[in-house]
Amino acid sequence: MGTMKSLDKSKKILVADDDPAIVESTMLILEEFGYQVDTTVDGATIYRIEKDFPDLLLLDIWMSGHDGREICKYLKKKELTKHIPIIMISASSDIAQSAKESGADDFIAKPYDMDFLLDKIAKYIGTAN
Amino acid sequence: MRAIIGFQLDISLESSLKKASNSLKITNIDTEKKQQRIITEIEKESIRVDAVIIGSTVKDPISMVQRLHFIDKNISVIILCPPDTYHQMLDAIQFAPFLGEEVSCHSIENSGELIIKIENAVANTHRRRKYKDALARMNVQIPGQNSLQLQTARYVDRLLDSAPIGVILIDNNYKILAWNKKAESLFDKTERNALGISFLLFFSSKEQEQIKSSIAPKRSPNIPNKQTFQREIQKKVPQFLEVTATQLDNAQNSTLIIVEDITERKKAEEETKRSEERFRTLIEQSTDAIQLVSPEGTILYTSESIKNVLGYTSEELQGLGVVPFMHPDDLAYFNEKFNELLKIPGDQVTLQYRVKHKDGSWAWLETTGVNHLQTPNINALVGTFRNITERKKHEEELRYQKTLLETQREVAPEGVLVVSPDGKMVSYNTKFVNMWQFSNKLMMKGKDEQALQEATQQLKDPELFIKRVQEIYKSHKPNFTELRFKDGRVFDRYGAPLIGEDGTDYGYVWFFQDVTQRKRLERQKDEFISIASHELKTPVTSIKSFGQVLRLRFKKESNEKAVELLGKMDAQVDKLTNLIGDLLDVTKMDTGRVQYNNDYFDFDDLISELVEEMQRTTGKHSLLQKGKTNKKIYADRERIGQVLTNLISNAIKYSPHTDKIIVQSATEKGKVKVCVQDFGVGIPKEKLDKVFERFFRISGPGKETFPGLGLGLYISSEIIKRQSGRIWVESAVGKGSVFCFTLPIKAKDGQRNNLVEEDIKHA
Repeated sequence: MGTMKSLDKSKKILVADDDPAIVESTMLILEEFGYQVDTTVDGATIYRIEKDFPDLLLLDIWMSGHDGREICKYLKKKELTKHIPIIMISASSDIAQSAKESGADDFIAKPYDMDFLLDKIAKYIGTAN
Repeated sequence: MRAIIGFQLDISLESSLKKASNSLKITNIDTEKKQQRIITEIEKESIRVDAVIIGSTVKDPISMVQRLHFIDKNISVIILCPPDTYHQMLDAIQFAPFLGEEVSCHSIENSGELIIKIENAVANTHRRRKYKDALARMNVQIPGQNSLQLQTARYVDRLLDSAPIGVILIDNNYKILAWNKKAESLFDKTERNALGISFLLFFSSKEQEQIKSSIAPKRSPNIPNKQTFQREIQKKVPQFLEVTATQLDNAQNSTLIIVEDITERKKAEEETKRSEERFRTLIEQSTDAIQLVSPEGTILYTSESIKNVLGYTSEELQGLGVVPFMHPDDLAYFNEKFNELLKIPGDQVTLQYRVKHKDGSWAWLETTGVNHLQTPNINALVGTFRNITERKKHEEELRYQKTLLETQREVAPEGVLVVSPDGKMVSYNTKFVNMWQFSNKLMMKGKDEQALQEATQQLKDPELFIKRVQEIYKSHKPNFTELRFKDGRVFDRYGAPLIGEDGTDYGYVWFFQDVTQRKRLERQKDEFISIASHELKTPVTSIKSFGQVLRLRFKKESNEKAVELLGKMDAQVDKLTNLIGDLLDVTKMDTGRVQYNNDYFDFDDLISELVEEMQRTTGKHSLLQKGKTNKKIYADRERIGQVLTNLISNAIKYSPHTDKIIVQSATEKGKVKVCVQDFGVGIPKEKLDKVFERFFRISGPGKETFPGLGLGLYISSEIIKRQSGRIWVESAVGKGSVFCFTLPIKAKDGQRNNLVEEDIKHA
């Protein structure tokens, strides 16, 4: 784990889920391991991101009112955001295929194990620093 | 010396005749006057003449003969005639009334044979005289001088000769005294040869005894005594003679014998008997019976075949009334028909009713009655009966089947349609008409084409529907299809060909079930479970995360107790997650909507990974991995992992008192195989085939139960089946179980991406 926590240097992850408890618990884990975490429970806000892009997006596939796959497609099409790794999260493990089809880099089924989540994130952006 | 008179004989003929025979004394009378005188002499019997030869120059030979015969001295007459008139003369003799004496005609050209002819003529004269003498001896009136008497005698003589029966007179020594023409032909013996010989000579010794006994003196005279003999004559055809002997009550004790050829009569009798026999047999063997009934209803006659119809003999029924045999319910009907029949002679009625069979049962009869009251020789009502009990039974059975079928059809919750082999609507129920929203008008005959069109127009894909129906009609196989309607309705359609036992094609039967509601409910249920499991997983996810964060923090504080408790909590959360997962999986498997994400993966790696992971969950058991496949297989890694996890966790769960679990893998025939063996409670043999069923659970030796929903093995077997593999179990109670499955190494065609779209939007 990183010894020197620098806000500027540590990697930023956006956690998007319509359930506040999941958002909070996931944020606690990620912060515990030094990541900088932004959260949102409203899918619409993701479409509006114009600057300060996260290093990685943890995206719930079904956020009330918004299909995570549509958000994923949108971001992967957009020049400014298409480089951002997106890990999709869903309660159903059968979604893996369609997650990939919509351009997601990876997929995690709920409920996820902390180590498993961290390994996946590290795979795309490495550890927090 | 025989006295021969010649009338106007040619001189040369006269002399040659005289030269030829010394025994003949020929006197030639040349003038008509002398001839008249001679005839008078003969009449007076002053001279005796044995034969007369009438020369060819005599003017009217026929009337001359008639005169000679009128005086009846039984003189044989020979008329000579020139060759050119010979046949004319023969005809004249034939048609002239000569009263039976021998008159012959001779062509003068054949003078050589004349002597023989004359001798025969003389013999005939003598024979007749002898016969007349015999009659005289028997007190038979002998024609005397009285010309009327003479004439009568001649007629009798003539009558006897023309009789179609043999008339023979014998004396008490069986010597023949008289022998008529028919006797000649019957016994093939001329009168001349028969007279004086014994009548018995014509019979065999056995027959002779019969004749003797019938003519025995002790018998009362004048009473005929009949005997019938069968004789073979030269034609080799049996000939039947009927011999009737009547002893005559006269001084001579003579016997009159009448012989009749009864061969033809016998033959006719025989034939009649045979045809009667045939007829009777026919009637008796018939399955129909005939009965003659009086207008009062009394049985006058019944054919023997009534036995075949009703079991009675014809005698049993004779004289009985028909009414007592009637079924009480049919009596009024029968009487009505009976009275109707009585009204018009020649009328005919056919009726069906029940009568009592001899065995006590009620038999159905079909009777055709004909009024023959006015028909001569019958004068009765004639009925023909046929037992139609079997037919009635079949009819009843048929009626029952029909009613059953109609009721079943109407009561069925499905729409039913039966079509003929050429596609016409033959039968349907109300439900069918309502389901397809057909008007009554459309269901009338001949509207099949229109009905089909109206049906297809309601469907989402009419062309596919038509195409499928045509294929089905061709294939003659049962089938099932889902019909989707434009308005959102869904029908399940079941079809099967109607094939008779003998292979006859009767068409096709269709069942339609409106499953719109069911489909909607199924969808709602699936949606509910999807949402419910999603909703359950959401708090579980945060609980797990919060727990892990807490555990991490306690670890930093070195609070080992808290770390341990939170670890246990985490394991329980995982169990809860699995249970939720199983519920969702079962729902999806029931509707075949599980998505398999197939890809190539290393089978050995997966096993190692899971064995390692599962080892962490148990402190007691040690998992032993044996064997290697060195294969990459094409399957859903996660689902196969789920199966392995399930088998291993079962092995742990059901072997609480042992500690070894073996996970063995190998390859065989293009397949990978893996077996998970435990040494635990085992499964009773009778339950082995049930372990892969839903909700199946095994209890331990002490009836102890094990936790779980009973879904794991069901889900596992469904997964393996869907992945084209095979799963099975071997087990012994108290010794443990071995669960194995195989999977193909290579992917089958078309198996690569069996995505089910609906899963996605509910995830």
